[in-house]
Amino acid sequence: MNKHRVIAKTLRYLFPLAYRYKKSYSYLLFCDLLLGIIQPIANVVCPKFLIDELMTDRNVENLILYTGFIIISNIGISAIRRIILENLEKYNDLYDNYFSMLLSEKTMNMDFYKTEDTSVLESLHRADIGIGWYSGGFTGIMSSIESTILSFVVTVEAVIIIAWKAPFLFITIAVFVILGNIFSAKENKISEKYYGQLSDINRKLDYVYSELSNVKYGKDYRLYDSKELLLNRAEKCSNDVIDTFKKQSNEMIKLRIFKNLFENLANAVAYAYLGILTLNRFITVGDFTMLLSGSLTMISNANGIASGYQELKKKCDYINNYISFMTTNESVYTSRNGNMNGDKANYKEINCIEFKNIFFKYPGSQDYIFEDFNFKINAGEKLAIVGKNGAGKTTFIKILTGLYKIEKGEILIDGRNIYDMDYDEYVKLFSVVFQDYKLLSAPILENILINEHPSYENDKIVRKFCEKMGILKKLNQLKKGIHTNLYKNFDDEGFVPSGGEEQKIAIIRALCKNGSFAVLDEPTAALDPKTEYEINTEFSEIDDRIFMIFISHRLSSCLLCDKIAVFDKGKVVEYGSHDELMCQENGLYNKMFTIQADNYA
Amino acid sequence: MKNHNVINNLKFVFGHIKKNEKKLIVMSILSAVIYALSAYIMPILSKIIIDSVIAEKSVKFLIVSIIIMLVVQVLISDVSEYIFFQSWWRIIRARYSFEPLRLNQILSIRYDKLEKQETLNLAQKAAAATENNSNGIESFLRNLQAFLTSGFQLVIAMFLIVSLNPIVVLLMLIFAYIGYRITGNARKKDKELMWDILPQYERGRDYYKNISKDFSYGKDIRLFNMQKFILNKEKKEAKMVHQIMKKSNNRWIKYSTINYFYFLMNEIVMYAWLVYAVLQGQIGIGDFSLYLMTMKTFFESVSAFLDSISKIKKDSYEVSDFRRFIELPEDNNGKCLILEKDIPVKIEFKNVSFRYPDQEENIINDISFQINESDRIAIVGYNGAGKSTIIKLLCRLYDPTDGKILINGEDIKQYKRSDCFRLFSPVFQDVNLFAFSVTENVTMKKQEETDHKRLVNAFTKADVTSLIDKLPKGPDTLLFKIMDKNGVNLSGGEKQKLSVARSIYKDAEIFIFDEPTASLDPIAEKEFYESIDEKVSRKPVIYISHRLSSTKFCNKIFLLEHGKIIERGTHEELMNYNGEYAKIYTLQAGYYKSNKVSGGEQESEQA
Repeated sequence: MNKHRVIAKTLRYLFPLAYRYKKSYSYLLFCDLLLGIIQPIANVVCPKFLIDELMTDRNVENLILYTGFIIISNIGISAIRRIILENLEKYNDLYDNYFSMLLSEKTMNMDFYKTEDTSVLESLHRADIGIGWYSGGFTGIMSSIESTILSFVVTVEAVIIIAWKAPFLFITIAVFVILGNIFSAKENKISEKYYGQLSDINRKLDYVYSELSNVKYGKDYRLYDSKELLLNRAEKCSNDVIDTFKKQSNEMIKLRIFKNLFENLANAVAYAYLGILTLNRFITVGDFTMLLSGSLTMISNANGIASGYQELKKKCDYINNYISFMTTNESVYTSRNGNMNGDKANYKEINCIEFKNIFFKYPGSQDYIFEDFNFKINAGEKLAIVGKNGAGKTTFIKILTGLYKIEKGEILIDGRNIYDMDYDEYVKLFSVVFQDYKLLSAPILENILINEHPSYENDKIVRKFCEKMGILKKLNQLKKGIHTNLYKNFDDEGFVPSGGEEQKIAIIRALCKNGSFAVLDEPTAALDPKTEYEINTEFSEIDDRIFMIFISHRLSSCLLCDKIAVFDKGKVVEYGSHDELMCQENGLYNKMFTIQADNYA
Repeated sequence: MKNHNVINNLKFVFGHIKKNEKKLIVMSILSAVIYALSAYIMPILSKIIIDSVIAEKSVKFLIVSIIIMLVVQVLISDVSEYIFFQSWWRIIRARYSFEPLRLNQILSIRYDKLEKQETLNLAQKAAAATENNSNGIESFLRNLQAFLTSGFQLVIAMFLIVSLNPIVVLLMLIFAYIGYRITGNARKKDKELMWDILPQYERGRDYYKNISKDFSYGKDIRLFNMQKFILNKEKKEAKMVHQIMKKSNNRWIKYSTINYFYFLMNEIVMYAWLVYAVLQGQIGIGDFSLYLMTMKTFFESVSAFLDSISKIKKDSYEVSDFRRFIELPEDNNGKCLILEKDIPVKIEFKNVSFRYPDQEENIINDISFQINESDRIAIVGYNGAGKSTIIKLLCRLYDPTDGKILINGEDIKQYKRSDCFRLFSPVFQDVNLFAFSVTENVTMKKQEETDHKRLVNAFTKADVTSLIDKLPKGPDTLLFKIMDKNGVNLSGGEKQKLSVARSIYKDAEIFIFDEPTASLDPIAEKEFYESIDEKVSRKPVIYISHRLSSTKFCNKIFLLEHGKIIERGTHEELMNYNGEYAKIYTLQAGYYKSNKVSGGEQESEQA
């Protein structure tokens, strides 16, 4: 993309959002800009009058006046700008959080299948650091803009001052400044190049030096005597970093030599030109100092225009990663508003869900998980889904819950296609506990109720389920009862549940959601059989659910179910009650169940 | 533990880097001198030019002096740029040269110590001292440079102006010192009221920030509509952070206003004296601008000098943190009996008890047993019975509080810890794989030390050959996407199998399997147990399992409860004994009997 367009695009996207969020920032920044424009005029022009006065009349009153003016414009403006700067800094974290939260919101609402796509993960990561410290975020962009404008205006001021008394000087200086700038531009390219390389190296470095220092790996290092491997890898990584910095330094040094040369040439030309003018009495000594400091101001600020602009462009490039994430990952669901608004009550009276000729493969994959898959679940059924690792059990749940969209075929709830429904409403149908369920470091009650505000009624419901799952007593023993924080991340008195208790809380959360489909996707793998069995039993006995689905490697849970579906390679190969399936002597179910049960014979 | 002082830390840091970074040390001193000089060359030359203009010297004189100025200026700036860039990356290299010390300590410190919160905090602080350029070692080195530079500048400026008017110098010193104290105060307040309390709120905010972008939370977030909940939490924590930072900004507004008052005083003294000196004819107009610039440099260098001192103090404190961690005492190796390699070992637990030093209750209580050649041992029991602790004691990750563990009749403490580690091939329940190649994950050694025959053997026996063949670069494929964007992510079952391969590759004297089949389906699980003999030949194996069915075949089964072995024997013996083991076994078996479906019956049976 054209580099000028990047800046325009970034501003068009960020500024309206930022302005709507907090208006005062822009005004404060503008004040600072104005003061920044005034300050150099005072600094360049005032000493002229002081020196001329010293060289001529030496009127004490005038001397005090000029000196006072210099001091006040110096210190006074600096002090005010400093105060403005401190005030501007207050906006840094505000804007950072604001834009980061927009990103959070976007991420949490985008279609689920994207979260399993590593390229989306990468672009999210780029977006996250793009709006973060790489660019300094919105305020980083704005201060870059301010300083570039400031450099420009100050240069123009200096040019005007110079042109007033020595019109040809600025042309000569301009030539050297432009020559110097060619090298600054190259310098910027180099630092950009290495910055790109470093982000890659830094990720590795971070892994080796921070992640691998984690105590959880301690056993492995010691018992597998892998010190050498680790130290060797760490050395390699740090050598990569050092090499990169070394190469960058060497390239920079060469350019700096030329840049210095031109900058100093510009200075020397200014001295010579002005010196000759003064010697020939075209200008006074006061003019000499004024024009000299004007020239020096022009030289340093003109360099600032180019480098400021390049810096700004670089920042915008980073932010562009953010913008493109925010604008491309539109959710399919939000654009597919359903027509079931208003008649939510119907959900409670679902009779059956039918999968008709389903075709599904994961995005980016060639292999179909489901090819012409057909299946029907009736209300009131307790269903167990079993099968080997990789048979498609979890994929089935992901399709059922609408996390993934099928390629071909229909999923019908009482004859109505689920994709015609409003997704937010559809999701309300499900109470799912996934294998990798997550609880938050927040009070237990909040973990369970999530969006609902605690009230007398739902408090009662939570307690009822806690009692049914057998942890109410334990929770009541805690200092703050069900208001106790989960985990100790943020609270030393937090409650760290055992594996079983954790699962029970996750299940209670699902039950309180009161969906028509209750699904347990093997959340009990790491538990001892007794706890697992208790959980499964208690779950299956909460019978006001319409649909109930179990997925487990421990086939004992099948005995709690009315129907069992055996999945193999994306097909339902066997279906029926436990007794029916056990009758098929060569069946997969029979084989798997017998293996586990026989060991107990 | 004591805090080292700045001089001591200086010795430590330079002692460590002096071998490799001699150039850096020379460069730092050189650059300090050049930087200091360069600050005065411009003013001096401009004075000469102004004087020559005022004195109406010839154009030739003017041009010659300008050319001299140009040459000197270009030379100095080139040399100082050169030194700057050369020392810039060298300082980073110096910082990284400290990292192996820290890593080595993490890798070698006694495991029971490593697990302690106290050690972890220390390790974290040590990491903070080496992880970036604004803390600890690198900052220490950079601020030392600043200290030298501003020190030289200060001295030169003093020489230039003190002869003219010592009182002005004294006043300026006083103003600079007051400014330093004010800034110091503000920093101290910032530390107390912001930096010390901010992290807890930031952690809260970042926790929710990360969750919203952590895709493993994706399913729950969508199906429980947690979006708003998480955003609100994030917002709340961010607000707390903002309040604290805002207060700090307001403090700085106050302090810098006061500070600017002293700057103002300083400027007034400076100008008043200079104008007065010119009026008195003490100095010329050329001197006026020279002294103006010199005095400004003087004031700035005093501030920079004082600032660098306070920063060095802070950095030195962090260097002390680093040293405290790496100076934690090494493991006491006792008498250092040498354990012969590749001979069969017999291990005996004799009345072993264990409790954590700060706790009163024993986790392991008076346990005795023996491990002999070709033993198949199962340690069974509920969650929290102490099964994993026994394994840690056995591997010598922990030392027993009471009792003895004997290896071939000698106390385990007589051996080198690393020799004990050599004896075991463990597969832990929490499988840890690294972002290295598959081969390195299995061998846990550098790539060039790979024994390929052993590796192929391990792949075959762990049943991962077909899995590895499918990977894009076979055994050289990197795991995860950290080191290589084309790295692969494995499923839970695959990770578990790879970790089994790791244990087979090591082929130590004793194998330990802690729930090795938790994420395998029944058929894969069966295959695992059936091929054990093939995997480990006649070496002893210790299993930890929840499921009594999978360890029925063991010749020794220990049922653990509250850190005690309450029953032991073969499966048959224990079933005949009809104690707790038989009860649990029947209970588990009951889960597979179709006529006992109802939970109510189960409970009555338990009772």
